[in-house]
Formats: sequence, structure tokens, C-alpha cells
Amino acid sequence: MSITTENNEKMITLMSSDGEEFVVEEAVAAQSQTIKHLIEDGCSTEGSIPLPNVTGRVLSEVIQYCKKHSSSDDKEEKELEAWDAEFVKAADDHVALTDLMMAANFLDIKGLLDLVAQTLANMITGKSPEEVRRMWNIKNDFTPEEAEKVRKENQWAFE
Amino acid sequence: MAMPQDLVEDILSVLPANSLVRFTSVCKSWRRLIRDDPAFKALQASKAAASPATRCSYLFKTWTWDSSPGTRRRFSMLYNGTPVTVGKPVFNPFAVVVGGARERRMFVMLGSHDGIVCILVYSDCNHASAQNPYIYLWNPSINKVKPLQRFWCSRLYDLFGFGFSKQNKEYRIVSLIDDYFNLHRRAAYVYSSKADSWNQIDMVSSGWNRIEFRCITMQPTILDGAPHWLAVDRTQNLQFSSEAKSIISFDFDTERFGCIALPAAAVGRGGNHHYSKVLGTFKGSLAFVNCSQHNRRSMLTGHDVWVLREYGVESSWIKLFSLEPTLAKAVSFGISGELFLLPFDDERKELIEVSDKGKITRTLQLKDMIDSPLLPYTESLVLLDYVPRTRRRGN
Repeated sequence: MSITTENNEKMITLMSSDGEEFVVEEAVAAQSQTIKHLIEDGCSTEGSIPLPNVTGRVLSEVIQYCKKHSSSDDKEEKELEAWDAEFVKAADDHVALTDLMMAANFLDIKGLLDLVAQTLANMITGKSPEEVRRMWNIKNDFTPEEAEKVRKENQWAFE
Repeated sequence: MAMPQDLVEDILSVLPANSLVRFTSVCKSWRRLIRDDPAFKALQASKAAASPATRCSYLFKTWTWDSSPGTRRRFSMLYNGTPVTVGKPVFNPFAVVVGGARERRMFVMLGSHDGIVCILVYSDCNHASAQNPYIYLWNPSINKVKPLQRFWCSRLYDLFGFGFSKQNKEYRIVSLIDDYFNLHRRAAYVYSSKADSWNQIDMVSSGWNRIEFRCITMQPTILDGAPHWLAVDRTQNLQFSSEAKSIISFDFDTERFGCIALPAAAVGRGGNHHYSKVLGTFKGSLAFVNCSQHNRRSMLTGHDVWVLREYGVESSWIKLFSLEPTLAKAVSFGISGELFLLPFDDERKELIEVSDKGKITRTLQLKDMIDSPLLPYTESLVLLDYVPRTRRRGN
């Protein structure tokens, strides 16, 4: 990835929950509405912005996304779409994607949130309720009678 | 790993309707969200309407010549841009079995709004105008059908219109009763889906008594929740030789009728057959196509597309484009300004797509013959929580 060598670009330091530090251009960090507001409120002038909900591993992925999306123009939409597809493919399993989605939600990056939500949705579209429960440790809180009733109600959707 | 509830909503709201129905059995909170939360249903509908995969789909009736007993008339779905699924069959809960010459049942798709289709079923297609149809709301994406209160009155001549009241957030149907032989006998009734009942509306305050036209379209065009019909002079007999001269509308919020005259330059130009005009919408504006046969001997048909640029302003009609005469006739407008033509040749199971600039862009191959206009269609969860009355009593 090419980084512009203009030295007058303002840099920001982001600190992950596990103490990892990332130095990024302000324009890149401002893709996150949460960070943008922190900067506007003057919270970043001295030292770094702590992000207690995001681990270093996830934060590096988020920064990768923000860098790409702040350096691209609208005219490169097709190329950006292809890049997005590769990006979510790299974080292939649902655990990594769920982490990424929670970070996108906390940092308020709408594009990333929608991208990951769609990826997870595509992943579960054809799955059975049992498989979905296993993915996110969701407890089946129906009694056997209720479960049978719900299943009967929507029989056709299981076929 | 637990997932916060609002993130679950973000993921579920972009799923297809049949997956959502299946996931009502994941856990109680998912079931509540998918089945009973109106805000979630609205979110799902808005995302389905914006998604390129589902935005340009249409529902239509198809017909096969195979008339052996047990053959069913089907509904089909047309997805834009995916030729493999063109004419994908949809389960037809109305199960109109084609029983050879004895089969008389007929169903009409009255209109669609946000994934809900209103269906009229007549028990005898030869005397459709002399019966009370059964009326249903149908959500094809989750396959739920809700029968509505039927409308009982002495049969004169009537037409229905389906739409939506934005103020009351409910589906409504209007029934127009017009006596073919006695110009003074007419009335209008409105059905409200929340109350599940019909009420007569006032002739004078609705403006129905001042409408000098007779609506003729069986499947009115819905624009902004309001049905619009092509209409002929009331004093003329309802014969095929009468030509549409205006458009009648009914607004469900104000309960008022409106009348918009067709441009003088278009009247008398098409054939005088009342099927010669096709009403629709062009990118959110009222529009119609004037179909005119090139000459009496040939089936070559020319098409002029007219658009009302400013709603209700008759001077804002403009002729957008004309098509070279072809052996096909306009059937419906598409969602993004395209026009669909159906070839006259029954053997050719295809639709011709004309762009909003008036150029033939492609031909869509279909699995069966089209037997109705194309209804715009989006996936939705409306009616998912509907439980048929008999079953509720059983519980």
C-alpha cells in the first residue's frame, strides 16, 4: 500500500485494548465517526487515543480497511468492491468476522459494518437453526412443545 | 461468543425472507424480532428495496397449454439480470387447477405494495363482472395468505383498487360500483385492513358524483399508495370500441377521487380498442403507452410513451419517445423506467425490454407464457405473524 509522503499530514496514535500502538494519518482514523468526534472534542492532542474494546489484531484489520477507503475516489468503485470482497475473505471464519463487526459498530464505521453484516448474512443464509445457534452460542430457549409448534408453523421454510 | 442485539438486527435484516422464516426457531428473542417487531419488518423492507439483487423483481401469472387435469396455473417471478431464474415458479396457494373446459375459476392480481399482493378470485371467469370475488392478501416470499372480509352488494358493474394509507399505515381496497344501465346508480366502498370491514364513502365529499368517466382497468396502477385507472366516457356503452380519455385516481388518505385528462394529442391516435393504452409509472411519474396498429392488415404496432411530469398538471404531459412498429405489444412499465413488450406470437415465450431512452436493450427468455401484467415485487415479512382464525380458536 502506498503511503503519501507529505510530511505535513497530521498523525494520530491509536492504542488497542492489549496495548498495541498504531500511528495513522488523521484522515484515515476519521473514517471512524467515534474517533472523528474524539478528535473534534480535542481528546487526542496529547498522546494516543485508547480503544478499550478493540484488540490489536482486529484494529490492524480495521485500519487496513480505513486506509483503503480514505485513499480511493468514487470512480474506483468497482476496484473498491473487489478489494472489499478480498478483505472479508481474508477474515474467513465467523468468529473473526463477528469481532470485526463489533469493532466496526463501536468505532462507528458504517461501510465496514454493512460489509461485514452482509458477509455474515451470506454465511448463514442456507444454514439450519441448529448450526446458527452453534455459531454464536445461542441458547435454544424453546420447550420441546414450543419448538414443535414453531417448526410446524413454518414447515415450508425447512424444505 | 455473544452478539449484541442491534448487530443481530443488522445481519438478519439483509437475509432473504425464507431464511428469516426458518430462523424464527433459533431462539425466542430472534422469533420476537423477526415475527412480531414492526420496526424490524420496516428495516428489512427498506433494505430489500435498496438491494440490487431483489430490487428489480416482478411477479406475473403464467400459462401453459398443457391442459391435462392437475396442471396448475402458476405465478412466476422475474428477476432482473439473472437469466437462469427468469420465470422462476412461485408456489401458488390459490391452486387454480386447469380442468380443461370445465375450469372457470379466474384470479386477478389487483396490485402490490411492499411485497404484499392483493388477489381477487372469481368463481366463473365468463361472468366475472357479475360476482363478488373472494379477496386475499398474499405475501409470496413467506407464502402467507390472509382471506379478507368479502364485499356483498347487489351486483351492478364494479371494479376494485388496492393501495395503502400512509396516515393509518394499513392496506386498503376501494370498490367502485357503477350501474351500466342507470347512470344515477353508483356507489363506492372502502375496505380497511385494520378493521377488516367495508364502509360506504360519501358520493359528494369524495367527488365520485362528479366523475364523468367510467374506469376500465381491471388492474389499476398504484402510485404513491393510490390506485389509478384508465377511464372512458361514462355515457358510452362499455364496448371494446371505447377509447380511454382520462385517468381516475383514488387517494386512501383523503378518500377523494381525482381525474386527469389524457393529452389531446394522444386521444384518437391509438387504436380505439380500450386495450390500446397501457397505464403505468415511469420513474415515479404517471405514464401511459399508446399502442397503435400500423395499418388494418398488419399486426405491426407502434408505441408512444407519454409521461405526466408534474402530478395532476395536465399541461405537463410530454411524449417521451416512440418505438418503431414491432410485432409486439406493451405489457407493463418496469421499476426503473424500462418498458416490457410481449410478442404477439404465442410460441415465443419471451419479453422484450425497452430502455428508458426508447431502445430495445434485450430479450428475456421465459419458461412459460405470460398471462398478466408484471407487478413490481419486493421480499417482505408482512403477514408473518398472521394466524388463520380457525387455528387460533383451536388453541
